[in-house]
Amino acid sequence: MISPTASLGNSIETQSPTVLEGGTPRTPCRDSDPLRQPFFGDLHVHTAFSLDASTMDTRNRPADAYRFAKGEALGLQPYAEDGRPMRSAQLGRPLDFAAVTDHAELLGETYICQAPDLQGYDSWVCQVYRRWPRAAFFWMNFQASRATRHNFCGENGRRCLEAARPPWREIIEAAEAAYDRSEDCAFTTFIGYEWTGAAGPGNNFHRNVIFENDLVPDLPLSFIDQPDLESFWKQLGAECEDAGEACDVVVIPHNSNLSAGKMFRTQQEDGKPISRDEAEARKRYEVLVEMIQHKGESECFPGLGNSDELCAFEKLSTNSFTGRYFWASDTQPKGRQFVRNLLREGMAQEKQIGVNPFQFGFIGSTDTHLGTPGLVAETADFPGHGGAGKPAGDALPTGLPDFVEFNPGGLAVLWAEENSRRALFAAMKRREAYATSGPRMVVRFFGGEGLPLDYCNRPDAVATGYAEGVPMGGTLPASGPDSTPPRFAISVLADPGTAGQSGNTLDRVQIIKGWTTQDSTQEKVYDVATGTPLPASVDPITCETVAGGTQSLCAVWEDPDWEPTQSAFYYARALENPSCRWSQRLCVQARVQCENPETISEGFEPCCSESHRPLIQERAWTSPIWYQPDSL
Amino acid sequence: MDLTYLVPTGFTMTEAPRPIQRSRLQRILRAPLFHFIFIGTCAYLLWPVWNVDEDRLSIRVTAEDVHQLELGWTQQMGRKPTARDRAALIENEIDERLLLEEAFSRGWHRSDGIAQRRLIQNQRFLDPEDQATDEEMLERAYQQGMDQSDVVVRRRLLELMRLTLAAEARRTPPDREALNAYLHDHADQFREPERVQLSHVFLSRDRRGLNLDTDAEALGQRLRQTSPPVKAAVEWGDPLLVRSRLPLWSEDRLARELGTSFARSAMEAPGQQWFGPVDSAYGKHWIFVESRSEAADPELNDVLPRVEAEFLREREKEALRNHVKELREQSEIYVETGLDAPAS
Repeated sequence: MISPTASLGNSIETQSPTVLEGGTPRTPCRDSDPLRQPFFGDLHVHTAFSLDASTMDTRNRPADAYRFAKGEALGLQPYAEDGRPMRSAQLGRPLDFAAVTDHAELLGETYICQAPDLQGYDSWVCQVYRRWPRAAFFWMNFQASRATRHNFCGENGRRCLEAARPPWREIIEAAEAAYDRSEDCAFTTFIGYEWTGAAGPGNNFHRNVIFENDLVPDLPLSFIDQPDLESFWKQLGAECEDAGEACDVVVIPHNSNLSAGKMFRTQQEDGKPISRDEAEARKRYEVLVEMIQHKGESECFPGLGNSDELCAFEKLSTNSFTGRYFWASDTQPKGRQFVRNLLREGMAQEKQIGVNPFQFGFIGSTDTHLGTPGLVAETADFPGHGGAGKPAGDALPTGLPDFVEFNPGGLAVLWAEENSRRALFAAMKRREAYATSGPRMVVRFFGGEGLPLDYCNRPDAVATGYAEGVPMGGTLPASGPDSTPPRFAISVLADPGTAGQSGNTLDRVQIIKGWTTQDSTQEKVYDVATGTPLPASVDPITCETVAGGTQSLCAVWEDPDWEPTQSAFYYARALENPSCRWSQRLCVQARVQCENPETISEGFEPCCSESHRPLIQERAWTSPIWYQPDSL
Repeated sequence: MDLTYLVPTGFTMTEAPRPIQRSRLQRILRAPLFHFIFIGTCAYLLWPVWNVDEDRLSIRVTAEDVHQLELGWTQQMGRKPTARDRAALIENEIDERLLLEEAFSRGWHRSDGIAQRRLIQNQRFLDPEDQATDEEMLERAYQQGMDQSDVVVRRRLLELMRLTLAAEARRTPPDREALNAYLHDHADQFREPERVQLSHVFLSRDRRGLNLDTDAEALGQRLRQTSPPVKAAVEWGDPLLVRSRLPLWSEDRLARELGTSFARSAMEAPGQQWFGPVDSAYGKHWIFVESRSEAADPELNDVLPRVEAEFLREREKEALRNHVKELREQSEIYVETGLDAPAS
């Protein structure tokens, strides 16, 4: 366990009264609202300490990422030879919180390969890393996916583990320095990392690990040393919660869309159902799942257990990392790649083993590999993913900066009393969280039998919601056979926009219900509130918009198909009116006219591919509210 | 050396000199041996100065180099460089070459493993059948000047220079006095912004549509005429997901919640009275500013980690700048111009 960190900040003479968070006191926040406020952030951020970022010439380090999140401009590759960046980016509005989550795997290896004075620097792997970064990216990740250390790491990988200390220390120090412990509570950081597991080559198993405070383990756990989830959870428990200090952690799986359905298993290797212990460990740690990021959205796939055409949103054309590179790969989407299918499976599992292993709340994030958290605007300035995407060379990319199916990623929104580690982390634990595909929509969602029908007109609506129901992420109490169906109150406020870009208006809000029957699970999508009949519109050819539409939606909805004996989940999906996608904005800017091939300049071919969708409907997904009957 | 020009006119070297009466000093001054010694001494003393071009580093950015820089830029940025871009490109190129030269003079191109391996690999790539040893391959690369031209080696050496200078700059922790001075010099960066604490009554554009303006006027009249307690008045409006009594917030913070137009108006609103109607992203508001805190400069203790981090970052940058400046002072730099001026 690392004790309260770093030289930075230790000499602060804090004013009383103070609150102890982990090992360090902080001043209470001036603005604390018992009815909670939405805080917008990014919990998936890579910097130069991640191999796949550094091999793309990302040089921004954790402190840079936090400066960016707080609103400062940041330089991006390609760099001129003297180190001056040729591109830069800046958020239109700062984030409230962020976590740098560099890959735990290869943290030491990447460090060794960049430090001439360390043993191993001259190893052939490091030479390949420096000579052919992309080849090294594949090879080193392949080795890591086989949970194998490179020879240059020495006996038991000790050299690489030791080498991981300086970057881990820097990650911690950056988070400590950027965390606002004053009464302003203007910005919160979390210490974290990514455990980058794989099930067979290329099947994504990745999880982000977010710590509550500055009491964190000595080193991040990597897939190389903890090559399966069970040993990972066990070791995480040993080094964090069970270590006798105020350490706590959440684990957030991401990109189930690239897992070929293997990210969340329901059977052990020998074909037997998973144990109750395993389900409980998963439920304990994996309280949130990442719904959207650069590498696609993971809610649902059209036709895969649903008839929901709005599932056709930011989908990748492959089901694993290797699908893109090997033509023979099976790229067919599998049910368990998608969150909605998993939520259904979770209820089925609960019936069988008594625990729901897939009880996820939702967040969005970026997975930026440029050190640019929260850069989610759907504009022509999207600089690309910077990791597993299109390789960045010495030159600025011509044409689209990344694979056309990638997107600028989403945001994590947490309902918390104040912007402090303690309050935000508690929101994560109780799943009072939602994901957006980028816009800062404000979404409240309550469920409860006693919610009043006039909820939307009450000035004390929010207080009523908490008093009469449970917020998103909660579970409704079991009802007797004669009880009335639960009601759900959903209210949405459109993104207010920034000085440079006004926010888009709302199209509708839906509730998605999943439930168990005797021997299967079902799902249904209900439109519960829609915007004005004359919404804002956008011309996909020019991206010009006509203003109009609805800025807020609110509804109280009662489940017409409710059965008190069936388990169920309900989550809300709020949709904006269509707008131009980042790629289309670039295509328009480059004056591409698909009917005239001469106008399609190099790098802009994807503008005219069949799979290119010029318009998108940005959205938010609330964490579900579960209903669990007594009979279970 | 032909010294005949030193012989007084009217004489030839073959003629015997006519005895002329001169002072001893004059004689010495006119003696060829003196001239020989004098010129020799001067030459000896001035040699280091004359020889300066041989010792001083010379950086020459040719017209062709500039042309290549411009081409690279155009390719990368999709547009031609402006005059300013072009000047910056040239300055970058000079700085880069100076740092590279230093890396070379430190011998890193010969001692750095990455650079060496890269060069060997290049050679092996040129002729995969060649059985030469790594050492021979390396020597060949040096003879061909590949260490000077290879992009990866250059980038590697530059990165080493940058990291070394940064590490040196971070070596001594800053003292409190220096941090205080930094805070003082960068007061703008750390200043607490002006904040207002307000309550508002909201009228929804969605709900009221075309009646929004008249409703807002009527609400204003009612507020002015009846002067209700603020807490009661905020319930006269439509419900909104934003609190009706907002905390002490800056303009930026207000903008994030209710849009930039609302935030600007709120900062300008007079205190302790109803002010409006004010537009927001969602409709119109009447606002009541209850209190206001002026912009203020924080104490060091309140912002210490930030100041320390910024200070060290600045020091790193300055170390690099200073180092390049020193290198420039020790060097001869030539930039050839003459190409057509780039489009601006």
